Amino acid sequence: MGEGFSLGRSRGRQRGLGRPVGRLLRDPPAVVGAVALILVAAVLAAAPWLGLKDPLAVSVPDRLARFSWAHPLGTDGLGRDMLSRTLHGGRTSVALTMAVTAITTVVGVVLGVLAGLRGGFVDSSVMRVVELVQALPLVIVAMVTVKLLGGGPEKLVLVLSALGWTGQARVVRAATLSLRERDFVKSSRALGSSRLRIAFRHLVPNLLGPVVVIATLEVGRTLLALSTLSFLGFGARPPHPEWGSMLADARTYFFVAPRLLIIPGVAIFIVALAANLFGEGLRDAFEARTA
Amino acid sequence: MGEPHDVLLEVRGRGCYAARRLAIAGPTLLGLSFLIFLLGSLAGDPSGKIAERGLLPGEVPTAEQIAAVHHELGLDRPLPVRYGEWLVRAAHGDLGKSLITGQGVGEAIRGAVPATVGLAAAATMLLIMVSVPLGVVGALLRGRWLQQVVRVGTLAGASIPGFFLAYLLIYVFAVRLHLLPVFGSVGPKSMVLPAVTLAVGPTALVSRLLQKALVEELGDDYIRTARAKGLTETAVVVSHALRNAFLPVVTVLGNVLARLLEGAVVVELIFGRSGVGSLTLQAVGSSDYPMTQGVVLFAGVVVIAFNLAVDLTYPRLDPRVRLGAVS
Repeated sequence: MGEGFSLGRSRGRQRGLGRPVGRLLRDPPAVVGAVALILVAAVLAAAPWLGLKDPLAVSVPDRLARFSWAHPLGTDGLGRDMLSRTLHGGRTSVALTMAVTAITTVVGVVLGVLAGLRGGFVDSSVMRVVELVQALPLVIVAMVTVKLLGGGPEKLVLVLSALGWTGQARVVRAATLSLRERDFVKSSRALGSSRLRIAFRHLVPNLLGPVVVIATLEVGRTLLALSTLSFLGFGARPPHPEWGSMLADARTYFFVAPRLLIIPGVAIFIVALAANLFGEGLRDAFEARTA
Repeated sequence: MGEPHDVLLEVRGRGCYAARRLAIAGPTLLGLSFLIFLLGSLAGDPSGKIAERGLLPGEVPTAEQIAAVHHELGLDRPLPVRYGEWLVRAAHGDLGKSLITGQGVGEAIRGAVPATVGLAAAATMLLIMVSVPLGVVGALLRGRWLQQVVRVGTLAGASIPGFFLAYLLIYVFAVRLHLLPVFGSVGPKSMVLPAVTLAVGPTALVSRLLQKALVEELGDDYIRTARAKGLTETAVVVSHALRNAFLPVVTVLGNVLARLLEGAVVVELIFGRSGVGSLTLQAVGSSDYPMTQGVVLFAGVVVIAFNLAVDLTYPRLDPRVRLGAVS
């Protein structure tokens, strides 16, 4: 029942993560995705200590240099080191993506649990808002609102969060609806537990699986939306690198040096694909729990 | 994903299905229109900009001129009144005039629609031709390595940013192989790369959904019955399982369409085509708020109308919904 999620038949709490993790390890694409995510996260986190060149240092004589020892990924149209820009740009892109995912997860879980537990008017209001937001073409509405708010990365995070929580809320609501009819929740209620206690003690631990899965899948989606908006000019401000805006800058040199465009493009693709592979694998592992 | 279950869930004990869907579409549309109106009014006072239009370049409009425009636009009246008037005018198809060109918004959108519809139609053809076989192959080859290839391939399709894909395709097919033109919208050949770019994301989405639904259907009892009575595997898959597996796909058509509209912004920009997408980008980029309101309203109405059409035809496709008996 619900949004493609069957919850385990656990009593009260999950019986540990052992079995889903075991299943995940037997799923090669998911493992590749997880390893890729860890590697990317490690490299991006370590970027300031890797002895990279200044990502903003312009050096016109070196412009559009090919791959070399001095510039492993060459230089861009202003002679800036591409390796450094790609890694620093990645820090920005990934940090913004994580911020959006964190916000949408919290908002989605709170509203989903609230709607599922309270039911009635609260539930139908939340669901109407969900339907309204989901009827909007995300990129177009985000473009308009970011422009209206004056642009910049923090506005981008705000807008994407405001538009991005609905998937998580739907899943959490559906899972809450099925959980609250379970015996362990009913007995807890019979013992006089408050709604808050039921939510935190019984629901949230059982929601962990689906929430983590949706959040992981949202990482891929958010990164794509974010870089699309940056590409269109509604995101990070130059000269600070960000994958979407790097790609937009590279359009000028497309016929001369397509690599400038391919490098950030491949970077976005790898991270999005890794997040999706891992997220899918997680979902399959959790779903199979009762099977 | 998984919306079909939700749709079925909502039907239970709620009386007439179609009436309920209609009752939802109305408020959604109204909410959307209010948000769009707010967007426009939060965008600041356009009076100065409009007053400048009749003047020589460099000339600054006087306070009286601005005030006159301000009054003419009705901006000195309270917000709810203005919303009501805006809504009535919008319902009559009058969405105001562009702040930049002075052209009617409705007229501009009508002019841009055919090009985008053509592009979206081409992308939809591709979507159907590719996602159905992919979904079937993915479902039938469960557990084999080829299924993993389909799985990773469709995930890759869902993970590649449209703007990057567009340039990759241009690089390979236009720059390297000289098979197709790079930019512009002349001739059928110019449609190929934009349509492919636009189709890849939704195709990945639909084929994955179809695969999942098909796997579920194939595990159902009626399939065992069909096999037991001696039907060929083709008949079982095509006329029994696939038919039912299309149902959950139908419910996300509105979502798919929204993605096509979004994709059109990027695709029309990169391939230098005119259409609703490039009109949107221009309007937003130049802070042309009446035009922006118009295109966002257009996009929202199209998606809501599509969702409603799907909701209203759904009972015809699935008798369980029509009869209110949901398993």
